[in-house]
Amino acid sequence: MFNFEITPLGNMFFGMSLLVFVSLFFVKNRDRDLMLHSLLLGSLAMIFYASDFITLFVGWEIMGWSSYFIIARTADVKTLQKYIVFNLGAAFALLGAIILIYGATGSFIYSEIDFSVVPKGLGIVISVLLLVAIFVKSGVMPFHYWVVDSYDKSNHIFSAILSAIISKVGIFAFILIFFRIITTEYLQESIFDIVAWLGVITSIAATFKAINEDEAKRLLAYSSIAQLGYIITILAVFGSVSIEGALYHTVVHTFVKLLLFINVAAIIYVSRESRFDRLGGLLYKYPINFILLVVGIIALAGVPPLAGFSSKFLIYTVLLEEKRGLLLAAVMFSSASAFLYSYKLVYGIYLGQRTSDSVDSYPKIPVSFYIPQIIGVLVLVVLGTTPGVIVPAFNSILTSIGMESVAYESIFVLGSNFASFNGGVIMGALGIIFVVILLFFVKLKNRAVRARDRFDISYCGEIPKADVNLHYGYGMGKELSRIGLVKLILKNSSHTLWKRISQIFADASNIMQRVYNISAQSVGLLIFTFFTILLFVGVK
Amino acid sequence: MFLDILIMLILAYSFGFLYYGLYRNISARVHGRFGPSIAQSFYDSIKLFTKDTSTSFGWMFYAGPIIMASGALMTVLFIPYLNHGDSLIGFSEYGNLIVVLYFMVLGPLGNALGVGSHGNPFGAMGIIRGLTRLIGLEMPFYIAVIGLMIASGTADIAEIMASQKETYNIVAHPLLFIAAFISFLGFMGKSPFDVVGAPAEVYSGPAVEFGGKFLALTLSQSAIFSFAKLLLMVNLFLGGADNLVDLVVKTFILFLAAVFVGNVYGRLTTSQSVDFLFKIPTVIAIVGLMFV
Repeated sequence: MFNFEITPLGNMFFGMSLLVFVSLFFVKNRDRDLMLHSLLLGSLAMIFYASDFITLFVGWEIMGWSSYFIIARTADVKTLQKYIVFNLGAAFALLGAIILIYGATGSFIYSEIDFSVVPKGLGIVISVLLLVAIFVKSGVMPFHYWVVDSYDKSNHIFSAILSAIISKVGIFAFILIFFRIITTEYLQESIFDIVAWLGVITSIAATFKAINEDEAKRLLAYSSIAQLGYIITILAVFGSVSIEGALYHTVVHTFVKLLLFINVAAIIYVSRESRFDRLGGLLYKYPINFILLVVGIIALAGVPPLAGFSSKFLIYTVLLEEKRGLLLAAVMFSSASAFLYSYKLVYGIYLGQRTSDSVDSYPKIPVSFYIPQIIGVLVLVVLGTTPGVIVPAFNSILTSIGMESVAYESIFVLGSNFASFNGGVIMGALGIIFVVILLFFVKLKNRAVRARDRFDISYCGEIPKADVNLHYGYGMGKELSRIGLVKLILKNSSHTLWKRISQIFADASNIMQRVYNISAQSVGLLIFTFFTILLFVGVK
Repeated sequence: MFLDILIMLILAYSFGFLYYGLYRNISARVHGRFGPSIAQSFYDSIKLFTKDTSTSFGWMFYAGPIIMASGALMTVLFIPYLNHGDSLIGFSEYGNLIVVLYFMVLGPLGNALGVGSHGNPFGAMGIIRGLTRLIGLEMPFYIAVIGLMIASGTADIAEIMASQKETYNIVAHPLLFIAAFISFLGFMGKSPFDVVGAPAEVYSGPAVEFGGKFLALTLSQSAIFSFAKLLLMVNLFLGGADNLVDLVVKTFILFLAAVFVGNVYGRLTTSQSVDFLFKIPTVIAIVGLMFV
């Protein structure tokens, strides 16, 4: 019934999922449900190793439903409604596309599908349906409507899984479908330009929404949407290097988000707060967690020497080589703005002033929370120092889906003909410079007095009173809305669009209801008319 | 290699402070004052390195300037000083323009972490203003740089310089230069796009909170960083320098242009300047990109 095949692409995605699931297994969680989590992992295996569309679809559905029940343990009805409507919509779109593909080519099996026989119009319809399914999973605007609430309301372990793994299923499907099965030329000319811009607009809008967000998990959810926007953009540009860039960013994003979500989860676990105006000043209470978060945001912002830079570099060089200057400018704009929400995240939680008197009584962070974070940091540091180390693995994926392999020089060097950089030298040089300056300053004698208390700051020439709010966690980033472009982005939301669409559906169902609610005589009349027409048609 | 790097750093430090001294002097003359001697900045820097910090706010407060300085040094070491030869190139053969652009933001990140750990809300406010302005400045600058990279077909700074043998990019792509120069004014901390670190508006900014040798480190890195930015502009638009004299002349012209513009204009608020940067220079840069 179900057909499976082991491919390098499936191996990579399933390997990452397995690593994430195993690392999260030990983390303390009040709402753990092992059965549903194993069902989810099984469904992921089904998706990643499927060799026909039916297996893919069944896996997709099991994934959707098992996630639903996990989210349902903690979330409210509204969140669940959003989740289920969008994910069912995605599943229907996928099913519709699969049926159309079968109708046109006569096969469900990947290797037997010859898409060149499909007429152009139908090909575009099928592609759009598939893209809708992918966009919902990856949260491309305007299909991201369910993402933020679901990430926010599900338990802290599952948020990490949603962001690190489930969102990547869309990326997997994109690569599988549009690079292996549907490889017709006309798609690249027609809809993929729009897809590329959709991805980048998603990332810009989500970046500014993230800056405006006051809750750690919601900020990370928007950041997740933004990062997946890049991946969609780069995939829509086509070519071997673009898949390399997309896969690289997929790996980096998986581990960055694993690190960041668990880091935030640890803070929520000990403090039971997730809003920036109720956290703050936890740096000296949880220094190790702080350093891990800083590593995470350096990678998230794409600053060398960590792996975040490697993937961004690939994305930029692809766009440069393809001479897509404007697209690249938009990507770089979004990437530069990501700095602000990265800083907001670290400031809101760890820097600034304490906002609660009970901080001293917070318990220690359980050791289990460090396991996924340390795995994330290790991956980011290793891929930052030796950025070329996974390029051979990507090459085997590329050859397996029939693409050309990309240039590979050594484990330290990453890049194409256009430009390359040596991660080892960057990491080494930065490390040496940092340590030299550090040693120089440690060696100098310092008689600095520790600030007496949190009010020992310069504050308009006065000593602030105890009830003065000294933490800038709430308002941070709000003033950006004074800038015209940002105001435009923040004012608009997909809420209006979906509200209008749901209104249309409500109206349509009202009309349907009127048909069903009519009196018995009218029904009799209708039946009579129907049979009369049938009779005439039959006579003819 | 080691000697090369050392000379590069010494050159960057001396030129940075020399230009800073000149800047103070020239602005003073514009204001009708005499101004301090040109060497005053050197004295300040050396004096401050021997002073202690009076109040400590924990280790992150100290780590901030160190990350900042590492970022500035890395930026300058990844930009070749001359447009030929194997000397004064630092690590530039292991990196490229994109690496340099990203190292330029490592400094602000370290600064932000350091100031944030201090606990003064006004410091964090200043940081947000600085980072917001940075986004505004990066937009036209990045588009201009993208234009140059596409035009030269490479992201390698040495090759971009080599491609300007016939005509400088300032002549070949004037619109890109104008856009990049407007951003460059802000990157150099000149009006109208500057955010002041010290008492004027962000009253509790980085330069106020850090004292003693950390202030010295902050000042030195900002001098080195300014030189790195001048160098980058010279390499990208003025064909790089043939020798050290050429380097001094070209960076000085660019520096002078920035100082004069900075002295004429008043400061815009952050939202005003970002609004402006998103509109006019960005549009100029996009039009320039169309011509590439």
